[in-house]
Amino acid sequence: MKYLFRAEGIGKRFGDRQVLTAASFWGEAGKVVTLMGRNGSGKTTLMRIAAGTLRGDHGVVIFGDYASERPSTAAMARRGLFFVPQDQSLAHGFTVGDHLRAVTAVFGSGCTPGVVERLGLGGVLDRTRAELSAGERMRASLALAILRRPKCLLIDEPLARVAPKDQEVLAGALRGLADGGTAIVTSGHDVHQLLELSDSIIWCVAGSTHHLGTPQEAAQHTQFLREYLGPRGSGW
Amino acid sequence: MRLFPPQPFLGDVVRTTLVIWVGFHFAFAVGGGGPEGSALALPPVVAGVLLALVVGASHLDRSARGVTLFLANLGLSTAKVSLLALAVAGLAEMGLQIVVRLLK
Repeated sequence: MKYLFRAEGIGKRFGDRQVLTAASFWGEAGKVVTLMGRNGSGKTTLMRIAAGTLRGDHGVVIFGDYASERPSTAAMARRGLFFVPQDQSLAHGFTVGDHLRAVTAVFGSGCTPGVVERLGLGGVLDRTRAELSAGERMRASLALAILRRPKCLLIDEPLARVAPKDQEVLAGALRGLADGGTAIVTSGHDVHQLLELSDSIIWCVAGSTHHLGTPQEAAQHTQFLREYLGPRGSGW
Repeated sequence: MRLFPPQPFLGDVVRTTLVIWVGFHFAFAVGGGGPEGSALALPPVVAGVLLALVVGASHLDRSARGVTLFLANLGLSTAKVSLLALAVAGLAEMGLQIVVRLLK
């Protein structure tokens, strides 16, 4: 099976506003797929519906042997999905160490010290979410994902509001996960870093999605260049 | 398949459910009183409503703090965690009813 994870024909309306009409994306083992699109194009909504944290109006989510029009985050998590939303996956009132130990306890994953060191979390293990910077929160969220060893990781805007050095660490960790066979679906506006990281680009526009192919192919797409990348992005 | 959240998340579910149960029970007892003059022993229907409110409020609290999503990422569904909260609040309610009857 080529696609490990698929969200197909997703639609969502908020009041009078039709955010998504028929949007689709997929995750492929060992590949990084990135959703790109202007603010308000529905990337986050699409990802949340696919992850089961928001109810879509129509569409279906398929993950391995699981298929549902009303997907459950927990049911997919048991099958190997891990979802990191835009505001990260740490719970308030618990330390980073609490989260790491919980994931290890449930999934029996080892090498916590190695993950902590690789993501530079040694000094923040006893800090709660409120005491962390945006970069530290995202690094901690990614550490949870690495310890989970998911078959598929949905991670919304991992490089947003993060210092360039943290972006490097995060992109490296995401690439490492993909190289280990995880299907990664990500999103964001950090064009240069995301185009370098990604194997495939999906453009969210006008409530729908368009597969643009590899980053090189996306960078040649005239409409994508004109309407999304703009003059600065076109230099990629 | 795991039945309970790992620590310290299990302790958090139990603790917050009990705190919310105490708050709602106090409000119900002060507001309506119970049968036979006891403010603590609630009629079964009222106790059922109280348990439903406790489970709902504890779910909202966990969702607002991001605990629901974290536990979902561990494979623990909202229904399963809510059942745990119901068990905790139900046991607390039953224990209180027994104590009130023994003290009468």
